[in-house]
Amino acid sequence: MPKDTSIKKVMIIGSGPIIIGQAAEFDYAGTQACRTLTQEGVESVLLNSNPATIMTDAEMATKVYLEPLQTEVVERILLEEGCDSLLASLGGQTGLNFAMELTESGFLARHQIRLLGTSAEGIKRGEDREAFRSTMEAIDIPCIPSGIAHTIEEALALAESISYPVIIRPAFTLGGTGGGIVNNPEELKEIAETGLEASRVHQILVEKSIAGWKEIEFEAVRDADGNAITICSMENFDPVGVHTGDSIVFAPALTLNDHELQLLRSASLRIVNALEIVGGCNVQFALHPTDGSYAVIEVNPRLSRSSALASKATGYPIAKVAAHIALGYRLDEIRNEVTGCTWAAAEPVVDYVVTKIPKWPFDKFVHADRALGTQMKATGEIMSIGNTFKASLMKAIRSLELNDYGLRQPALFKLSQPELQEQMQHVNDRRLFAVAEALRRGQSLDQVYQLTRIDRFFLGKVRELVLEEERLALQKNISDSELRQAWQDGLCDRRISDLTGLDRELLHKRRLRLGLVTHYKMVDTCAGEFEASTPYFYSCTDQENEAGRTGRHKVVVLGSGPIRIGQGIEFDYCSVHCVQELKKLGYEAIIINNNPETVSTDFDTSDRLYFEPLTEDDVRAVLENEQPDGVICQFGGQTAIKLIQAVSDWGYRILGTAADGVDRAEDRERFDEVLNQCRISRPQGHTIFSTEQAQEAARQLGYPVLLRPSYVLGGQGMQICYNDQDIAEYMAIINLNIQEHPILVDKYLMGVELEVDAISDGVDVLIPGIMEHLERAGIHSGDSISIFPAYIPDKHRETIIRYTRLLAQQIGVIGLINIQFILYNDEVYVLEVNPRSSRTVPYISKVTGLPIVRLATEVMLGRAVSQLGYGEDLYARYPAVYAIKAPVFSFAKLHNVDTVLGPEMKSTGEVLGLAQTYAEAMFKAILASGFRFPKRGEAVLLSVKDPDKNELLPLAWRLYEMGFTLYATGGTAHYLLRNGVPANSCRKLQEPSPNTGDLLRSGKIKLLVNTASGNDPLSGGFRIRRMCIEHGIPTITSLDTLTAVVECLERNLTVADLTPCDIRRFARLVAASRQNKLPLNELPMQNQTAKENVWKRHQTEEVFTAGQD
Amino acid sequence: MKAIILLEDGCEYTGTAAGSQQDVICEFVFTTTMTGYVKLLTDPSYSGQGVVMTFPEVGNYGVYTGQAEASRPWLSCLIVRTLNGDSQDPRSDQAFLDWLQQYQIPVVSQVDTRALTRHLRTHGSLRGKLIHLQDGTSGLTAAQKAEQLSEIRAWQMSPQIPLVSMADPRHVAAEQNREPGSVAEPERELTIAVIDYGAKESMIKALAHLNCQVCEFPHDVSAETLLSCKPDGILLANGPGDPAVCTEEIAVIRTLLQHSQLPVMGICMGHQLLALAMGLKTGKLPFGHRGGNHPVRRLADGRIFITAQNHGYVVLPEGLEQAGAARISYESVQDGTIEGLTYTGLGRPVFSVQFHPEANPGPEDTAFIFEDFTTQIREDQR
Repeated sequence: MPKDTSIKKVMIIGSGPIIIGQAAEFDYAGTQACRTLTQEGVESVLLNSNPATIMTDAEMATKVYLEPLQTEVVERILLEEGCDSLLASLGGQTGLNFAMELTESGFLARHQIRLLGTSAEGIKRGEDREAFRSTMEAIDIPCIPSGIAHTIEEALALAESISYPVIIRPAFTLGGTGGGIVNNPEELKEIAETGLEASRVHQILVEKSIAGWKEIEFEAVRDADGNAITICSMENFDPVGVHTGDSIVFAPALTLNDHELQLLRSASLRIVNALEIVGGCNVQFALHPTDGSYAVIEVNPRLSRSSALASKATGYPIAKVAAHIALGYRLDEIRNEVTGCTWAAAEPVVDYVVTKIPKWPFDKFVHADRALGTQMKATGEIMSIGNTFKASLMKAIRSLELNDYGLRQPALFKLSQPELQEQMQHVNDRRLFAVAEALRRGQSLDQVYQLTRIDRFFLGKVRELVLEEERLALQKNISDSELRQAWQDGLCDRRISDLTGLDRELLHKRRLRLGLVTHYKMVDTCAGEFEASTPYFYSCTDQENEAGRTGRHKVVVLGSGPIRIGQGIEFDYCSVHCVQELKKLGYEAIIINNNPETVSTDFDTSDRLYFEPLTEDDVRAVLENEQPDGVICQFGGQTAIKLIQAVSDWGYRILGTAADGVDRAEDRERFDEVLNQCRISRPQGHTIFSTEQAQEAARQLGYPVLLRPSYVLGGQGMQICYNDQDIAEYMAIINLNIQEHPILVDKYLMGVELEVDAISDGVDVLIPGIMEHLERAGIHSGDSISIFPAYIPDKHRETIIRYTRLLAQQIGVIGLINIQFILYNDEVYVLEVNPRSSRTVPYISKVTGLPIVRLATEVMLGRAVSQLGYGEDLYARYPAVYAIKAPVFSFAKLHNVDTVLGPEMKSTGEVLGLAQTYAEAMFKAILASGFRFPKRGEAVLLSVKDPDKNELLPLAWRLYEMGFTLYATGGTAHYLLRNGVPANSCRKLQEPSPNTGDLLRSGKIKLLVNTASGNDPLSGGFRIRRMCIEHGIPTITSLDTLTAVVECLERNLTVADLTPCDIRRFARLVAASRQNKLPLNELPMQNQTAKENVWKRHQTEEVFTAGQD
Repeated sequence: MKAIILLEDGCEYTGTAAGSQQDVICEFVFTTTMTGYVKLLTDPSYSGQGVVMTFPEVGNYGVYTGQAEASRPWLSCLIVRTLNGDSQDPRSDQAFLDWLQQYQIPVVSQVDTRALTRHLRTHGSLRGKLIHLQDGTSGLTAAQKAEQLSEIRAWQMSPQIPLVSMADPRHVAAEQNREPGSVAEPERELTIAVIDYGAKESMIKALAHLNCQVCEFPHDVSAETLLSCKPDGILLANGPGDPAVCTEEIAVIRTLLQHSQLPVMGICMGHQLLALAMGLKTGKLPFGHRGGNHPVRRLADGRIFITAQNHGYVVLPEGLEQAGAARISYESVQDGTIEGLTYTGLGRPVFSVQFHPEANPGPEDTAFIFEDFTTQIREDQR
């Protein structure tokens, strides 16, 4: 059946903020869907709270709403916009949950709104465990013995009947939150409790553990007429037990014989037919390694992380096809845009091997539990393509941007044999390297197989590679044939140089002289069977080069690699915008990136896509192949900017700020010179290399001090230290990683942080708007609630504009610059300058309506700021609106990570609240971030460190006045009571029952307010915070945040009071009011008062001793 | 040892030789099939051909001899990107390279298989020669090359069916698949006569599985001999080469159609020979359909199925009405060529498919076609 013309206006629900388990893949999916609807002439209304996405660009849909993803909001926009259909299957689990909720409540039926794609019954059959099992039984597909439990007692009984070990999985969750493998009733009780908590429907699955079986996935698509195909098979390196999002994955499956593969493929098709999928679906299987038996583990009746991977791995645009299917098209009516001559009904075939490796946040969360299991922990992933398994794997390892570009890791040499065995047996993020180390030491494939159950095919390849590396490491020289072999096996120049000690540049020259030139092959969905015109390439060592140079002027844009904390989807947004502008200006836009989840790696985003690691050698090979007119390094975050010097040294023209300018901003001493020349102050500080130096510097500056390495992103390795011991601990951690650059020790000023992004042509600047951070300095800007516009005295506003101009001129910024200021004692200091795009660029672009990246790209190509048509200096001075950005965290997925915020960034995503009043914007932002406001009459637990007690007092009183029941731990309770605030005192965790732990477990507490200084995992505060995370109790760790929450509570706002505002209208409001000379909207009074109090306090008070009750 | 693949148009592709070191001349074709290399290579339809695998890692899980489609691999030589000759899979019966060596199949690995595939796609399947180079030489001299080229260009593929077809008829018993305890009247066992033009074992198994005893005959069986087994239906199997040269086989089919009222089903070569017997024409596709991902459309209801295909020739759509009122039953979604025919004017079920419903290797989506055949026979007999 062709397109259903009765579909006129469709709402698309996005997946909201980036959290672990739900990342950029839904931006890719949503963007493809929006484009498809536009192409098909269907009106689209997009709802997503995540401002860092491409899909929330104003031009992506007829209307774009950046509003909290709440049922009432969805309903209201559906009705106000008069949508006739809802497309929810591209918005991850979030979207799917809305589809279910709106169907089950009868809302969709009542208003005659159609759910496009898979029906609610189909979704339920796929998602609800019992419905799924009975569906599978009906079509004779084996499931793993299991049962549903609603209580701990039921779970215990089930586990007895199935026999331990069993796996606990909560129903309706993302990233497998709250699940795990348990071996006995004690472990079961613990995991089952969190599992029940995590499940929307308060259900858990208790399932037989099938550890050691292979884990295989299929992506399938099916149209409404019942035509179904599979897109790609995927095989996990690790056997079942590790969440697929945390697994190393190869595509297609490599160790299955045809019988096994067809068995699972046919089963996938039977399953999608039984669920009557309309669109995309992911099916996961466990396959016995020898006897051929199998079982279905689960299905995702929607687009998922795996579908993004399958799309990028094959070139088959699953999301686009799914959107067409939702509109009524059949598979054989949808063109395969990759070949242009075939149809979406053909199953893709590949002639290469794809490797996916997750990117985990353990380099940031050094105390986190690194064990991998059923709960996903990775924040992002990389993908690599090679036409041999070995090259594919080596590229993948390089793409991770770790210290070593290979399998042989000297850091593991010192492990004892039992330690190594332990690392292999218990899966964590480093298992691949532990396996390689064991094989390097001569353990047999069988021995390693017995410990890991990793297929011998993979082990054999890993062994060949690690032994090759070992051979190279043990010799001083290398023959031509060895060089050829190493290169063909995917070892880059730097790796060969690192192993042999030979000069890298000489190796590079020698390789080229031998004719060993990197060539590029095309990803075309059909293994070369049909002519394809997709400019989607990967490198190889073969003879034929399919990426011949065109005669056009070309610019290479370096992407940002995997999503990680501190470098998220916002940099993909910037890269994509840059590419779009380059295309508009008539350049051939070429992008290099390796993140399969993103829009930038869609084959139709750029003129040419190189799916390659973002390392020096790989980037150089692309540049040698393309000989571009210019290279842009400032949009891909730290990944791209750290390559600028090398790119410049190879003789390529850098578009935008020169490498030297970047260095002057990032190198501490050179930056100090810049500040001196501009006569700008910054917090006093020193550059040090050792612990002793740091402690001495700190004593001289006076505690507290801020420690951080130079060249950082996302506050990696930053810490506020209150005493010598904190410094010693910090230095011990930071020295785990090799430090090429010195450590900075700064006086820590507890003032108000302000931030700008500006476009500069080296003379003039254009600042879209000034943002203010709600939380006082010391909390990483990415973790603060950011308020636009900032309410600061005019003189400071002018100072900020002047400083921005001065700094941009002095550094020679062409393009974007991000500056963080601190307002302390009525004076503006500069904290940090980033001569590149920043996290706030997408957000400030959207709310001001200024296409910042496009403008910056124009400037890089030679236009002056004055020619851009938006004026100079500050664009939006006193706009009569508020845009508030709130961070979103993934603490529930990461065990042992402290939720206290500090200078090290911890958030994974962000949301936006847009409104014409401060209170509404703040309420929207906090609501959208997933925070559950407590209701009047409910109980709040307060526990703050001594220096905060004074400030807590009025806030506690206001909470009490509103009717909250206050509980407080010892010291805090004592202080509150002494000052006349009625509070119930409760015992510390370590004291006899009933204590705080019992109180939290009782479910009575609906909010925890807890501030702390250190991050000692053993402290009572830490344990209380973790308990709250695990029990789903909202936690506030800063009194500034509490102030904002109290203000919201006092206004008594509910979701029903909110006014949805589409992003175009919002930008129009900004444009209309931006020239205001005075603020015309209400001032955030309470907020301002609180801030003033802070300033006053700091003028008068001595430094507190840190304490924790 | 190095080896080159020299194509009739003078193009050369270099790689590393393994397996038999015999030089061979053959027709080079590519297949996009990603798994099931043992099933693929034992398909007799590849006789006389050098097979280029587009999937780059081959041999990963060794050889399970039970999964072979014939007694031996029939292809002339194998070209791969990476050869995983010594499988580590403890389940396998034999390492992949040992198996190839046992049957004297030359292999060339580390070839830029994608470049070679693209060349074959652009220029069509080409004749060529796999030439092993003496150690120390890096290629052919101009004179050597000229000599080799004239040899290649003079070479014509001989009819392959006589090479791969069985020598003596055989008999395969039906499988008893009755549900234990079933009270329903058991269906009568059918006898199906199969003409082996290079039949894959999976076809025979599929029939046996449907309660058919199979009488399999060599390609040159006479109509009389075939009918002597009193079959309920005839299956014309797959096989290698150009169907149009098989005049004797075509004549036998024509006789069978004229002198019996038996239902007939054709697969691949059988489909083409049946069409020729009915007066239709065949032609050569530029580079064939070889792979496990080919979508076909069933015209009766528009349903799409993914099929395994392996054919270089195709039945042309001219004169269908006159040829027993032939109707196209399946067509290729990709290029619209005929993938299945039903002859509606013969008063009994006669139909054929170009693709491989028996799969192996490849998708099993159209396995129902065998059941359609047996069901139609049973209905026809009622």
